[in-house]
Amino acid sequence: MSNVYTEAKKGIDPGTIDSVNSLKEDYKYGFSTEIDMDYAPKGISEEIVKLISKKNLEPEWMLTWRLEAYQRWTKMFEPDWPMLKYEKIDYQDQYYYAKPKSLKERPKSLADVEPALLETYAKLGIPLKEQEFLAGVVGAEYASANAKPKVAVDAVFDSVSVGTTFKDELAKLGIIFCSISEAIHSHPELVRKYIGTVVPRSDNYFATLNSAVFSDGSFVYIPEGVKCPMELSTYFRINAENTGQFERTLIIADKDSQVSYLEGCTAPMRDTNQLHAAVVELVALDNADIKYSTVQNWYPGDKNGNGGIYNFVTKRADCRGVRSKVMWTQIETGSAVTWKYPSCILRGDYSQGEFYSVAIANNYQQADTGTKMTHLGRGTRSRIVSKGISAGKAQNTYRGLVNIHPKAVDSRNFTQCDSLLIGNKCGAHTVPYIENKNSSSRTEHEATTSKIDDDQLFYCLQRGIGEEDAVALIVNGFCKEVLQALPMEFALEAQKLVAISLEGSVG
Amino acid sequence: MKNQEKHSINKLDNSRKRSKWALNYQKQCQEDLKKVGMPSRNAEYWKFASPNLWENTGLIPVSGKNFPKNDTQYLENKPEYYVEFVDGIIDPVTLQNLKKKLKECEISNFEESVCDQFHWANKLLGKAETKARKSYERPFALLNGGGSSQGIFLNCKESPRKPIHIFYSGEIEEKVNIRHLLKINCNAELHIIEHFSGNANYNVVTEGFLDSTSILNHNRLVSRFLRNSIITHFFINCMESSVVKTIGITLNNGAVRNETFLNLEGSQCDVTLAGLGVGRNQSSICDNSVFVAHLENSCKSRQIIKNVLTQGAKAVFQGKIYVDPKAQKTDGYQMSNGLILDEKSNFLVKPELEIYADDVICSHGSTSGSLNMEHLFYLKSRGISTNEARKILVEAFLEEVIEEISDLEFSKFVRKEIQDTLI
Repeated sequence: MSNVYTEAKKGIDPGTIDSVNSLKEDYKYGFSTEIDMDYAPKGISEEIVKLISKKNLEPEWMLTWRLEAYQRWTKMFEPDWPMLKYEKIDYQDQYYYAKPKSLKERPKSLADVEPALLETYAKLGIPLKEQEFLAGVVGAEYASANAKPKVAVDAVFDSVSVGTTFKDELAKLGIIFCSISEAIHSHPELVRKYIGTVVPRSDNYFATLNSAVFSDGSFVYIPEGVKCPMELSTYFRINAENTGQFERTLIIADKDSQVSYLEGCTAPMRDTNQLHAAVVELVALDNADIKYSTVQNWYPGDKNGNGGIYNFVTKRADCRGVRSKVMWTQIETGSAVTWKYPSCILRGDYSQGEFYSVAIANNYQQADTGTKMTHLGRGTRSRIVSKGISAGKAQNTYRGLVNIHPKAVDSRNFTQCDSLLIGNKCGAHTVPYIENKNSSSRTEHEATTSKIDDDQLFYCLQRGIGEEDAVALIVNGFCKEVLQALPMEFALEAQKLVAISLEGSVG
Repeated sequence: MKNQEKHSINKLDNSRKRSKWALNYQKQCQEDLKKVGMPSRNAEYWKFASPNLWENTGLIPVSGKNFPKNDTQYLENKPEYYVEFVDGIIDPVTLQNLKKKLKECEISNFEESVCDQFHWANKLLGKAETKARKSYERPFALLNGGGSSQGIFLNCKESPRKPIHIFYSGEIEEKVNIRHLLKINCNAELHIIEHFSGNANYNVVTEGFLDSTSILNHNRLVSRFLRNSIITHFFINCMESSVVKTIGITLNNGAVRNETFLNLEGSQCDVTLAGLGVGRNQSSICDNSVFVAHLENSCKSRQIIKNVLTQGAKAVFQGKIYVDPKAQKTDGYQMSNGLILDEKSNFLVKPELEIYADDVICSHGSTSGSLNMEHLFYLKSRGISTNEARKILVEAFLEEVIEEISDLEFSKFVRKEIQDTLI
């Protein structure tokens, strides 16, 4: 164990290690930063949509696209099928656009940057040089290029992207990694070609809302034959009160390309619920390979279930090309309410979709999460491994769909969803839909629900491991299959997160 | 639908004087049905198979029929204990015989039971159904409750020596409502075998109340000659240490929906549900909707569903294991397997778990696919023809359900029927 740790340490910048070490707090990211914000008025209306579009200096087609989505949204209803109970969301009591004021004029040096913003980054464990860059300092060179492994970061603060690192280095390879508002200007043809083709504006209530009011997000384009040399990462943070974050991520992997993308999220502690409705679209063309990892650590609310983020996310990958591959890995530890189903449309022949998930719900958290695998092409394969852990008074639901189309001959699906219950006030539910319409395809589904084995716990205790550590150890073992699928830097952080999210759940 | 309701209400007015408890129940059903309405195609538990398929089931039959003896019965010798429903109406001769022979049970038909103010069923009718409706609405059971006039009420005090057979026969294509009520007292064991071989569109509701340490063994066979629509409801309430084993064999070419609700109210119950379906053409739809509610500790439940599908047949399985916070030490198991033999057939399943207790072992599995080519090759390499080899493999696939049947005579008969179906 310790060996792995030190080995891993060599390759990671000290900031990440420090952040991992300091994770032993209740909710580490629960600070809020007092920054002068530039708000749009509260509520949602056509004017707000126009305003957001104007603030981002968007072209006409984008505005029309948004307005059409908004019109549709007004006629839609919130879905009521998830096993979630939450207070009705007042969509008029939210800010749909918030931007740190200091970004209006780009600062000349780090000294000019709002100190509070820098402090936020420091608390988040982002190293200084990156901080400088992320704060948008003019002429800030990205110096730590020798550090390995490299991670290019795009940070989204409330509604806007505050900076992207390593851009130039990536540009040499032809990779486009920037905020989506920037991409709308600099690469309109790409955005216009792909946006809304995976998650259409009419997809569902939250996706439609996002289409109307999304303010920023990340855009990635990997050109033909390029293997992205570093992990790309986006960092989302909701800072302002009563603000909804609506980011939109679009990743396009052209033929024979490869990319690994990380996403992390945090939010400050507040006793009101905040809304987060994101859309992520992935497009994989022939032989492309996308790996999308998420560590979702939004504020989960306090021990009595007050506050926390409502997380309604639509994530979908379209494997358009032959032999394309998409892999979703998610560690869901935060949010008061999670509603999230990263899916794969396996359109290309012999394409592959994988979904690895750990969802931990403690206290009053509720998670309704899972995946959809739609097999359309010949010989498509999908694999689902989902681990749900419930503790305290939490409810954890796996909801999934495996649909094998009559034309998807020789397709395979394997699903495994295991639940672990800690305490007798929580719940674990499994709602899989399996539709096989084809005789040459095979589906397999297995699910188990159990509690932490007394023998295992006893064994650990007997060897002098404290009860909490023992539970963390056993739970980590339970999630091992998924944690192994994460990139190294994330795996360590995720392991710690698993331990932290379960703190106070035993005894 | 409106016409149907009207029809059934008119019919009730003409019937004999019913006692208050039965009338109240019927009225309640009719009112609830108006509130609930018939299910739409989008309703959660009707997504996979449209409720329209069963639209023609469940109306009271036209009374005053002669009882033409149906000699197409597929059991050569009539079993010792049996009762027959011809065109949905109970044959009084068979009932009289059964009453004479069967001293262990108190048996009466629906009409005479509901006219008796002090009948043993007066506190039970509709109680299991009400519990079942808490899981999700059962409009077809309400339709039945609002307009049934046929069925048997059986109070089992001691264990009968042999299974009781219930035959549903007849030629005409009627809409038929049948309602049974079973009460099994402490330590008694009852074995019921239902044979569907009539052409009517049946809507059958069976409510069962098991006292502690009682045993209910239930088999249902839908004949391979039928093309009609059948919907059955099997609502069972189990007290402490009772045992239930229910096995449904569906071989027909019509739409069959079996709604089963097992309410485990006592501790240490042991329930088994098995379903077997052979679908041979496009109109063949086998839909099993199962809800097992674990409400007390240390109960055990097992579900096994096997479907063989060819020629565009469809099989649906929606099973749910619910575990209450009180139901610690629950052992739940659920397995559904589909064997799809051609490109047109569908196997649609939703195996759900809803668990609120931590010290439980619950697992479910579901597989679907075609025959294993290696198995087929093995048999062929030993000189068995492709067709014969396929048949052997299909029979082997179904065997797990058949071997659950405890009555040897019946299981032998089922094996033969399945072999004939597979030709």
